[in-house]
Amino acid sequence: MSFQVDVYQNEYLPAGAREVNAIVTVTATGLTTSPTAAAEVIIIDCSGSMEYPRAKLVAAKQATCAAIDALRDGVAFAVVAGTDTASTVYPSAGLVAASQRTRREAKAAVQRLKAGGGTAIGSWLSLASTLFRGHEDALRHAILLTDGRNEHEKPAHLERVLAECEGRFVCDCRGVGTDWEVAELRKVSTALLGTVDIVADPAGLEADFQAMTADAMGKAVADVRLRLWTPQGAKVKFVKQVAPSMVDLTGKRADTGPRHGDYPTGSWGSESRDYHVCVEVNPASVGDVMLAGRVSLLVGDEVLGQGMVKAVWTDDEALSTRISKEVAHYTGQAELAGVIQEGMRARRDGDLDRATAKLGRAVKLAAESGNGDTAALLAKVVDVVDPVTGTVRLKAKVTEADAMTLDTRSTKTSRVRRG
Amino acid sequence: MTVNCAGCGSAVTPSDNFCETCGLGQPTGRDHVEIDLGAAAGISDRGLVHHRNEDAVALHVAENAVLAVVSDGVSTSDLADEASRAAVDAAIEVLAAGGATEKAVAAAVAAVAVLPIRYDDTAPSCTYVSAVIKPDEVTVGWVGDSRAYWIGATEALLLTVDDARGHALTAWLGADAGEVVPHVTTYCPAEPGVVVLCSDGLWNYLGSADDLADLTRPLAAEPMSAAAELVRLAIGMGGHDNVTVVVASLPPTSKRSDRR
Repeated sequence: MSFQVDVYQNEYLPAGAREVNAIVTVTATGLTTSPTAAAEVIIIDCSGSMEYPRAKLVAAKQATCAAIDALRDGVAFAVVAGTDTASTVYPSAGLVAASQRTRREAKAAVQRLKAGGGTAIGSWLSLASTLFRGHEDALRHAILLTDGRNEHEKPAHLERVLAECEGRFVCDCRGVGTDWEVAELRKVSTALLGTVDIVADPAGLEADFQAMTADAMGKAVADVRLRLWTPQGAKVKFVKQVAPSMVDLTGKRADTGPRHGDYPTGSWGSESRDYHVCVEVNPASVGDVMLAGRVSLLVGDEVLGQGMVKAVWTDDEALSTRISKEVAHYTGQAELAGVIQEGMRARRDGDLDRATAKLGRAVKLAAESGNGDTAALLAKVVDVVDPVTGTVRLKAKVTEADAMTLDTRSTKTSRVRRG
Repeated sequence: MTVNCAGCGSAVTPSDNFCETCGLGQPTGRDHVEIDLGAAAGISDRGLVHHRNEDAVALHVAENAVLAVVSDGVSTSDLADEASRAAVDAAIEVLAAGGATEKAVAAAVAAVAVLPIRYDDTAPSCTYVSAVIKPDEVTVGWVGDSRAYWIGATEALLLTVDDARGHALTAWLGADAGEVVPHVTTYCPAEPGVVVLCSDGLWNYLGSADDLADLTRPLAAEPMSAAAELVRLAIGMGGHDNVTVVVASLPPTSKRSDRR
């Protein structure tokens, strides 16, 4: 397996400029055909509210069964029921290899689940982390489904568990219904390098779980790290994944040497992701070229791909004022995600002027960048008067599902158009 | 092998040509290029201001002919260094196989056109000048403002007419250049002498054929020395651009026969 690394940037800077921006596209190719060892934990919210309406628990059971059916033979798995504590549904301890028999037994155990009790997401993740113990060499993936807020443990407990679980496994989070909190689940998915999404209608859970499991089965290599080398005296302003979704990795850096550090990127299949790297360097003289960053993709100690971010100081304005369309596009997508989240927060807080301004800006950015999916979600929350200027009116009636969908999917970016 | 960084002085592993400590780019093999084939010599130099050498040069000595190509990457275009390199490589291959100048230009155009276009309206671009030097004639082809001169024992001529209005090019090789129709001219000198090809890094300082002749004639028997002298002059006058010079004898004989 190898990672092709392509760097897109305008390396030309005016005299004295320090900030270097680049979009780094990483494309994983040449996957091995033999399946990689994998471990899967499915965490189902069984709190009392899952019975209201009853369709929620019924759909969650069906979805879990679909996920179990999507597991490859031999994948180590377990199902966890989450309430104000966490308990294993199947098997009784540890993980078990998927087979016809274990899948059948697991599905039968899932069907017997009853709802009752509270929500303590930290303890659920703690149990998952324990279950993954001994499977460090496998691709480790969890699915977490909840319908409510993390009400039965202190926020500090969840924070502590997330810190412990970081790098231990990847977790995709789903909120069913509209009584859960977007920011809370996003915190979990961001910490554990997974996705977060809303399944407003429980009927949609089965297809979603199936797709998530299939995606997890498609991963071929775990614990891929992005290593960034920067010259002496440089400062990394940020490292963000910007496609397929916006994930700020800046705070996840682990220093690995005097001038380099690693950022976790989780598991990879055959896929392509974009990263925005922003570095501040000590400017050199006009005419000098500098390596402002070297981006490497590593598995273990093996470098599987490398790209270079450069800086060239010039007194030619025609060069230094060029706009890299990749950098511009993703700078816009980052702002788009930010203004949607700020706008929706203002809307919840009753600050309607601010909400209108922020969501108007979002409509303009979505239109300019061709992010049709986000534009469609925005149109369910605001009436668009003019997308070019970003003139909007807040809709008087917005369903909670539409508001939460917009907020949850605000981090989905559109890919830059090339060619 | 390690060398010390030209900027901060720390040890550099010359793997990717950047200092592992301060990141500064180290001199590359392309910053100064010398080709000495006896009857013809070429030198290409980064100069003193540009961060890299975007000129390129290729020379080839065939049976009874000397072939030379010079290209100057348009510095306001993207990947200008790759454009000029691709152009001379493609052109010299055609000329060395006996192809006509028009075919060499077409090959250069095609090689430049396949380079990636990373920014709108800045497709990789370059100029082109080539010379096919036979015992009794020189055929010159060009696009853009790189030049060819004939410096005989008594006469001195500029053989090319710049495709430029002021300092703005009116023709070049590149995906955004439209159809490229090269100028091609053949000159049959009445006396021995040298053909000089150069980028504007030289002729910006030394434009007239007579001035060029005054400097070149004393060294005409030694193309390498002549080329070195002309490049030294350009750098001495500021080296504001990349500078590339080819000096080739006509008839294309060895130094030994020149001594006769």
